[in-house]
Amino acid sequence: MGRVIVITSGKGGVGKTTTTANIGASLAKQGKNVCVVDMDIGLRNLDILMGLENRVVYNLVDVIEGTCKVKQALVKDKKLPNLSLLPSAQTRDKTAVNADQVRELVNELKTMFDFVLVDCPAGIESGFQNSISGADEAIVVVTPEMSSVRDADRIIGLLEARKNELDSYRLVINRIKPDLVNANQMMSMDDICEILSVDLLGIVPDDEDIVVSTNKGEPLSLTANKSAGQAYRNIAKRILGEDIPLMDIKGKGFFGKLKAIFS
Amino acid sequence: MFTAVKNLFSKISGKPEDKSGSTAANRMRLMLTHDRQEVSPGIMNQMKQEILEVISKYFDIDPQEAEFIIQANHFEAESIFSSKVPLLKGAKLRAEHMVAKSEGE
Ligand SMILES: Nc1ncnc2c1ncn2[C@@H]1O[C@H](COP(=O)(O)OP(=O)(O)OP(=O)(O)O)[C@@H](O)[C@H]1O
Ligand SMILES: [Mg+2]
Repeated sequence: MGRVIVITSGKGGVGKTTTTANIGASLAKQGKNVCVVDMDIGLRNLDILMGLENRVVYNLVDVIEGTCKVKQALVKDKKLPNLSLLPSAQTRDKTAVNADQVRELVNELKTMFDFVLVDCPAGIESGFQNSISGADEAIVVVTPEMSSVRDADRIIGLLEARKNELDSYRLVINRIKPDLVNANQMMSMDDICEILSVDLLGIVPDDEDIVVSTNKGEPLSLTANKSAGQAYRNIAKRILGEDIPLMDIKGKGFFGKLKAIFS
Repeated sequence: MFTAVKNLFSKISGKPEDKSGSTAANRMRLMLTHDRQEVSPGIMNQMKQEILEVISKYFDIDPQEAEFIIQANHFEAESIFSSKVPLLKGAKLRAEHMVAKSEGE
């Protein structure tokens, strides 16, 4: 039986879809059978990040409504044959599915894959409730901004309320800006972990290459050996149980180094 | 560059860093306490005022120095409300209340 991991955040635009695509690709690169599921019904994005938008035939709603079989709707990655996408429907909305149907679907996917990663829509309404249905674990994505942390706390409260169904949930802090961290003008990862009192799964620096990789439709974690690409690979390895130290996200200025020596 | 030097000095001198990162973290702690407890900051302030009024009937206090903390998180069933109200130096229980007390005995 595979592990179902939902990637969620509360606040929109903090990097759930980016995180799903990159962790999914990294896990597949490590030899695991992976399915990434786009649960953002009506706002389909994951196919674009993976460069698979032209191969979509059926979608998740088709599967749930019985129009097609799961296998027919799965889109295989161009490079990694053990990575598949279950695309969302672009022209439907969240009311097209309910939590029980989603649970049934992910339970079926669990028998076919080692990992099922569910990309959750923003918000705490039905789209969120559907996405966490059937999940074994959750990853909460947060950026070092107050509004994002506040929304993450709300999500953590909702996850905690379902703790008999969830094995664990962990935090990914995304878009850390090294220069701002050095200048103490950004909440530190220690502050965020302490405030939210949640285990940290990983930290990801803000990285312009994410834009380039999205343009190409190729997750950064497959190609880049530094920065965000490396960070996502580390996260995938931690999910597989490896003990990988946190990345050192520091600016490279002279005083940054000096400070590192003294602190 | 200048910031880094300043940080270095504030680390050595042990002064709290008045940087927006720490400000945000502190605002965040307070905000989440209210969120988790589902009380608005306005109601909290009103309650603090009322508590301070009662205490100052009995003791001389400096309301500015009073601290009120709610410890609330998602993981424990119980939340704790605690307050710290320092009494002014040499503050004694006000005389009128001592009389009231001894009369009652
Ligand atoms: N580490 C990063 N560095 C730079 N840009 C990033 C990073 N992570 C995400 N982004 C950018 O932030 C934007 C939002 O990312 P993404 O679509 O993954 O967020 P989301 O949480 O899925 O959004 P939504 O709530 O709308 O589904 C995108 O433009 C993405 O390229
Ligand atoms: Mg998204």
